[in-house]
Amino acid sequence: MRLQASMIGWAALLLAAPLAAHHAQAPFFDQNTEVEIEGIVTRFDFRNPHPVLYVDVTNDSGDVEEWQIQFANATGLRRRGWHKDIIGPGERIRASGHPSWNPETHGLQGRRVLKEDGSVLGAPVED
Amino acid sequence: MSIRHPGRQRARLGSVAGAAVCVVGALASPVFAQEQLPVGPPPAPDLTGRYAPLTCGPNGATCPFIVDDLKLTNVGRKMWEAYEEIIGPKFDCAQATPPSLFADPFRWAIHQLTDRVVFEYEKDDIIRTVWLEGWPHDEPGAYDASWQGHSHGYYDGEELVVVTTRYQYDPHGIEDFGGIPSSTQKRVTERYRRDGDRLHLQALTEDPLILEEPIYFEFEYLAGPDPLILPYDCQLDQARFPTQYADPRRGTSLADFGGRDPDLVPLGVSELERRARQAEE
Repeated sequence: MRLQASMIGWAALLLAAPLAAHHAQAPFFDQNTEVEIEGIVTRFDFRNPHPVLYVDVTNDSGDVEEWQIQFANATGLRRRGWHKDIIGPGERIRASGHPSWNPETHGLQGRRVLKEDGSVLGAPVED
Repeated sequence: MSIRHPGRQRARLGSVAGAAVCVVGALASPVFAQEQLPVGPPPAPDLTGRYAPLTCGPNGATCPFIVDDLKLTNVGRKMWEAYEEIIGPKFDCAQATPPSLFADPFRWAIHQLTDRVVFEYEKDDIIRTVWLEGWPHDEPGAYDASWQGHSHGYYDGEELVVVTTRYQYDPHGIEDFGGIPSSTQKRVTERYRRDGDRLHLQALTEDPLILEEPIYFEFEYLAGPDPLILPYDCQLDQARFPTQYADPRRGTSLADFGGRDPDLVPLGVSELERRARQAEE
C-alpha cells in the first residue's frame, strides 16, 4: 500500500533518517515528493556504497510489488549502530522517502523506516 | 590566490642533513656510538591522529562546491553542462579525489613516518602516500597519471605542506556532486596545521583547463579517539544500483535538475558543525 506521508500522524514522531550520499540524488529520486510504503521485508543488503532494504508491498490492485529502499553509506550507518542483522526477512515496516523517477522502478530514497513495534529503524542519521 | 611556500628549501636541506646523519651514525665506531647523535628527519609537527570533518570555509562561507560560485573556463562550463550524473565513475566504485574528498563526511587519519606521510580515509578505502622531500622514492613515469596523483610533501614550521600533481582526467575531479571535471593539469596544494584537538587544512586547487581561478578553501577537523570504520569495501553492483532510478526520458544532467540536492546546499560552517556534533554524540 502506498500512502501519502501527511496522512498519518505518527509520521511526525519519526526521526530524520539516512538519505545523503556521495552523489546527487535529484536525478534518481523526486526530491519534491514524499511517499510512504508499508510491506514485508525480504532482504537487507548492508553494503557500501548504499545499503538497500527490499520490501514486498501489496498495491491497490492486490498485486505484490518489490520496492527497494536505498540508504546512505553503510559506514556512516554503522557508526550509528546499524548492522547487517538490524532488520531481516519477514518483518513488517512502514517507510517514507522520495520515490524514484523511472516509472518502471519502485525505488525509494529512504528517510524514515518504522518497525512494526513502533520503533525507528536504527539511529537517526544524516551524512 | 596562492599558498606560501617559505621554508621549503630549508626543510629539504634539513631532511638531507638528517639522512646524512643516519649514514654517519651507522658507520660510527663503538666509541662514538656512546654519544647518541640525533638521527632521522628534522622535528616535525605531530599531526598523527584520526579526524572528523568539522567546518568548511573560509570565514564561515559555504564550501566552494556550488557551481555558480566557481569561475570556470569556457571548456569547464561546457563540460559541466554536458555532464550526466549517470556517467560518473563513482558508480563503478571509483574513488573520490581532492578537493571533493576533503569535504566528504567520513573520518580519516594521518600517519607520519620518517620518509612519508600516509593519509588513510574511510571513504573508498583511499590511501594517499605523500613522499617527504629529501627521501628517495620512485617518481612517476610519463604514463603514470593516476586517480590520486603523485604527492610530495615537506614540513614548514608547524605545518605539513602537500603538493599533488599527475592526476588523471577525472569526470568529477573538481566537484563530485555537480560533475565538474578535472584535467591532467590539476594541482592541489594542502597545508595542515594542528591546534589542540583541531586540525586546519588550507587547500588550493588549480586546473587552468577547467578553472579560470584557483579554488581556495579551508577546513577544520576534530581529532578524536574513535577508530576508522574499515574497510569501506565498495560493491560494484551496489554502486551502480541507483542509476536504474533515473527517468531515461529526462536524463541525469544536474544542470537540468538545478544543481545539487537542496538538502545538501549550502554546506557551510553551521551545517558541518551540526553534523560533527551529531557524529560525536
